[in-house]
Amino acid sequence: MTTFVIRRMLQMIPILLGATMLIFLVIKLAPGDPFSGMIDPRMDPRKIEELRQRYCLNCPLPEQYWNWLKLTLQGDLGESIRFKKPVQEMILERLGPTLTLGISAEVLVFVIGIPIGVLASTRQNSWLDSLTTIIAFAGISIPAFFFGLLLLKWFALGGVKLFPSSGFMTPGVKLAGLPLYLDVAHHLVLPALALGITGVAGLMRYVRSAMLEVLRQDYVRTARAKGLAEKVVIYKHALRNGLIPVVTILGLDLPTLVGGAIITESIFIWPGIGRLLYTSLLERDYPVLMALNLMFAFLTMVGSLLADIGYALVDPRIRYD
Amino acid sequence: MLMLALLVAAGCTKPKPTENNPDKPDNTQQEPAGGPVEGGTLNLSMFSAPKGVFNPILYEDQYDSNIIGLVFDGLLMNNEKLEWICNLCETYEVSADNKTVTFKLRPGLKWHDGKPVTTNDVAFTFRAMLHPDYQGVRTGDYAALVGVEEMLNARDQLTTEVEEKKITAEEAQAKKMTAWEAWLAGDGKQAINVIDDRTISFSTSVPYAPFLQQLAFSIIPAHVFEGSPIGKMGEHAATRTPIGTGPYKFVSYVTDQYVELARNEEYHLGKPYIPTVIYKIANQDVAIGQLKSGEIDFMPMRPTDVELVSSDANIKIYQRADFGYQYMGLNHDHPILKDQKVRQAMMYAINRQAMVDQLMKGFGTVMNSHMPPAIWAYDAASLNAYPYDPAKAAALLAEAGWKEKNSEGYLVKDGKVFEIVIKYPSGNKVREASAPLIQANLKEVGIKADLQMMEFATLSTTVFDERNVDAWLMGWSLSIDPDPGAIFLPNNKWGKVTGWTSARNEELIAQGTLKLKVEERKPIYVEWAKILNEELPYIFLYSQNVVDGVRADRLQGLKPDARGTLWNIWELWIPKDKQ
Repeated sequence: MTTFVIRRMLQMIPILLGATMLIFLVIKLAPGDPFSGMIDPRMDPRKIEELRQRYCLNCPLPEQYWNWLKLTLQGDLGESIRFKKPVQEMILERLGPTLTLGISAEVLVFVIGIPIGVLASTRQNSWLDSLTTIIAFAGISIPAFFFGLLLLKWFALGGVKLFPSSGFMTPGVKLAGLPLYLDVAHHLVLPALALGITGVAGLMRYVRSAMLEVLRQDYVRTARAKGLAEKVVIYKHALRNGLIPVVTILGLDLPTLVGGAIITESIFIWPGIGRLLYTSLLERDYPVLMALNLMFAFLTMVGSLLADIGYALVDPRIRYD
Repeated sequence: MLMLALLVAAGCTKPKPTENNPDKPDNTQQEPAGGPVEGGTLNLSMFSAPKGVFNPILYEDQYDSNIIGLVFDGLLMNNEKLEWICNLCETYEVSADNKTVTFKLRPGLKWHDGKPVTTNDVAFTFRAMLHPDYQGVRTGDYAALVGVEEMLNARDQLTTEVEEKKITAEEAQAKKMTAWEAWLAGDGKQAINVIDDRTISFSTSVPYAPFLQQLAFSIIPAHVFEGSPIGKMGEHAATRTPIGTGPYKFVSYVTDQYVELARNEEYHLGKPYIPTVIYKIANQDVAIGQLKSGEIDFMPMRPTDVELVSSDANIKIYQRADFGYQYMGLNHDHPILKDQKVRQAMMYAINRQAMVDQLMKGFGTVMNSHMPPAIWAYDAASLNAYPYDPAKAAALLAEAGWKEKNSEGYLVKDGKVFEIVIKYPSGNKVREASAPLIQANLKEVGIKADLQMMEFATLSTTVFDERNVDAWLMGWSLSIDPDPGAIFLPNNKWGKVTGWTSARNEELIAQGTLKLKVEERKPIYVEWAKILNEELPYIFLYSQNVVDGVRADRLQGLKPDARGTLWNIWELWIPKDKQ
């Protein structure tokens, strides 16, 4: 197992390098640069040309890529052209809130999705199964944008005004320790719900179909024949195998956890990485885009490695050498 | 089923019909009895996060300017007629030859950190924008100062030489520095002349009318920035946590959440009544709900949002003319569009009044030339209004040789169909909605217009850098001074795009800046606007008004006018029971 993990991690290096080259090319393919959007007549076009030269935006592409790679290998992710701030600082600032939201939403997805999926599979074709199917399809079909606004309408701005309507914490108040965590948690409820809804629905369906598959197996029939309680049969024996698709999802979802919440972040003004990615894309802020995409490429590979390790843990039949 | 029903019900709620719907909102306020009191927090909102570059000489993002406007002041500011009056200055004087402006600073002015404001700060601000290492984009504004145009041309030459690999970047920078030192010791002394620590004068080589506007720029503190290299000013702590002279001091910026500001108790125009301002970043769709629930006190509104709040007595709407307008640019090198009759036909064919009435709910004006309604040079009466008249459009097209139509109903001439591609950017909903309207109007007179929407930076490159376009939708955001040189002089980047030239255009632009008095300049610009109205370098569309929504039960002391809704923020107050 250890050699497997080490081998995979070594393989990551050339793959990451190739990925960054491809990403760089694709980003540069988009017409424009950080200064294209500056068509304010009061901005001096001569000065803008000078700035283009300073940032080497007209240099040959290999030279630009090499400049970026050189700095990155030394641990310097560069400075944002539009924010004029070190990229590393910008990402770290937003990482906390992003992970808080992403992990909360993911936890919600699992805590709600798995039990209901299992329940639906054990009571296949009952009214409970039909209900969960309908909820699942509704959940997958509702645009996150719309659901977010609905939640705000029912629970924040109208209806039962239980939750704050935007932000990560209450403005203007300086809290620390437990009151701070409680404040953040209070602000977290609606965005996590909005973000989680599609995930819950999807996972529910995955678990249900995986469990249906597993419950048909011979060993399950044997376990029942041995006289084990139904709960033990389902949760101890069947679920472990039913969880294999779940492990896939969890592993490959890792980059989405970090950068996929852009719509939720927009509606709830959550200071996350999704918004940063979107703005940088529109403004062609190359240093930020390269750093973020490098991070996502890395997370994708780590996620897939973790999923593979997870398989081995969940299913003793799987062995790596 | 229940879920479905809920979803459908949620989608079906409509805003209540409005009973009290004034189309000319009144600009006066009934003040509650008992005058201003101190206390409370003012909650403002903006719809995009500022970049955090809270430095007037470096910022590029308009959301940063919202904060800069509260933290910094300039030598001059506008009165309600948009004339230039003193802000940081006590008096100012224009010399008889119109080439020198002398300012005397108010006594006792202090920065937010308590240090005194002197003319050294003023000189530092403008010199920083002219410095060879300056990383911002505002240098061109000061080209009129003595000796600066020559210095900037020399820099351009050096930049070109670096691109052509004749010299290295370091050599070029060294030469620029030498020229800079020479200017400081020579012409620079006359251009920016510090007479004493309260008196300073600026001189131009020739009289230049927009000069007063450029001199109204926000002043930055020399004692904070002096020790560090100008080229690294973006990384200076004071760019993120600014120190200014404005009514509110910067406290903190919680990234992507809000900016907190505290009142400047020693503000020279009066101590603000409201101690704290929280400038929140909000989502435009959610903000209306937040305004209604009282979470925010102010929001910029879209014309279509107005009816959602019109039934709420606590929310007042203020509108004013904008310093900008939207247009359809045309490539005059296109074989069909180079004909003036064709362009005029298009002006008659497009129903611009309908755009104002339907898309902007009346909160706007039809444009027929370059000067927007907010500017003193605006003179609608002298222009051809090109009222919506498809018959007239068809007649003009016929005169231009476009008489026959093909089987689809489109005009043909010499075997070619009258077909153009209109490219337009995403991001401005009213503009996006206007594109299909334009297409439909043009189709009615037989013109085939294909629409291509693209993201803003892509469109900008396609139009301004590559000139790969027939027609495009775009807007200009202009300043108070009407001088249109930056946009319509054909040798610069913005002027080149259309390919339209006119000797008279260039003559008038040059003349317009030589005189300084409004009465002398206005006839020049009126004549100039008429030329554009007739020759149509662009198809002028509309100018959308700025509409603000305010919680009138909380905010007292408002005096909204052409300067804005909250221009007198230091005079605003919140009643005790609403704090």
